[in-house]
Amino acid sequence: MKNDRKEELLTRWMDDGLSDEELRELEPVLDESPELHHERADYIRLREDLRAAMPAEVDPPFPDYFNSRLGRVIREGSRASSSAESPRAARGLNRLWFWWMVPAATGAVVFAFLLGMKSGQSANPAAVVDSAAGSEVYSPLASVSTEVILDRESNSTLLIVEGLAPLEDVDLAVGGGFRDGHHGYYVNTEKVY
Amino acid sequence: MNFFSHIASNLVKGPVPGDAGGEGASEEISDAELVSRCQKGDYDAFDALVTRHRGRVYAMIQNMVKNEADSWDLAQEVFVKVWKALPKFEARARFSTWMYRITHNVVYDWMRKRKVETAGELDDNLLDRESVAAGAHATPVREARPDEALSQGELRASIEGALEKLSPEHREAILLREVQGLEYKEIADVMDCSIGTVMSRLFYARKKLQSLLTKS
Repeated sequence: MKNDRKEELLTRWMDDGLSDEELRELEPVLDESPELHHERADYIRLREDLRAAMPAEVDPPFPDYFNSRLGRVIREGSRASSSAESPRAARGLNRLWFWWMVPAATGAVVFAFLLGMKSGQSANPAAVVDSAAGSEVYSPLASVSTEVILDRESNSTLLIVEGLAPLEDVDLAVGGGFRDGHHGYYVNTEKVY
Repeated sequence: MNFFSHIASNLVKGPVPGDAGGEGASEEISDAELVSRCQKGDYDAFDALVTRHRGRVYAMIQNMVKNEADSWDLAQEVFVKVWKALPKFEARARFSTWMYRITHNVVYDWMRKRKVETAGELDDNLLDRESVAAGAHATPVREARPDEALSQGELRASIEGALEKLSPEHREAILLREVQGLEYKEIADVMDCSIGTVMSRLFYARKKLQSLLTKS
């Protein structure tokens, strides 16, 4: 008997899946190697152990999150592909718009840069500081609570932290903090404005 | 598509039906019905399919890659691919078989990438079917007294250790057949090989597994 055929018959014999005719075909092999009967009995026991030890189904950790994250990924993928699949004419228009916008955008960037340089070198930095987000060091009080507000319409996230007190950072103040008047960047650490 | 409207979990949770045609699905919606709804853009139906099958997909991946975090990510990737490919699914095979096929592809892609990224490191043996000899001890094995019964945890560790020493193809064939209960033809479809190859892989994988566990 060819090896391939022998392997096939032995595999199906292990699974108790041979027809009578196939069993007769395998008999000479079994007679020649009686230890195969023991191997089969051992394997059947091993299979039971295998099934007991390795469940066919294991829910992933955080199964609900698994589904919700999957939904989000698919939704985002779908949005991306639908925007990519816009009609060719619209894409052409977009490209035209893009090329018209390049010089305008470049001009706007240069203007903003010059404006920033001018403001940064201003004798009155408070004008800039007023419009900049202040940077503070905070210390937690007895209890700190946080709230996260997701605004889907504006695609923004607001994090509200309560129970913090501003901390005067002496080191930052002595060293001038993050203040860098020469380059037009101002971060409030000294409350000078 | 309608999937923007509602994303919820645990709509349908239960055993995998007998086949994609809906046999044995008297009380719950069959896979075939859910697939049909998905193909019309019903995301709720897809969510139900995910809830029903995620445990099998995750278990299969985890037994192949042996890392919880990677398994979680890969299971996500499987279902993203399932969703994308569902419009082309023609139900020639059971949905679950088709899903295992996608799982197989995702896992093997991951193994290939990992093999490239970690060339020369510990993962050299990935995809190298003959690199571990049948009797090799790749992990420390506690010598058990003959009269000492293995606890469930020990048994699992022992079996997992032996499975890890098999080549990925042998391990997958064993898992699909013995753990997931697939037919030979289904395994051939999943692993993209002939039934003869499946038989051969099962034959040698079983022998090697027996040999490893006997020695340990």
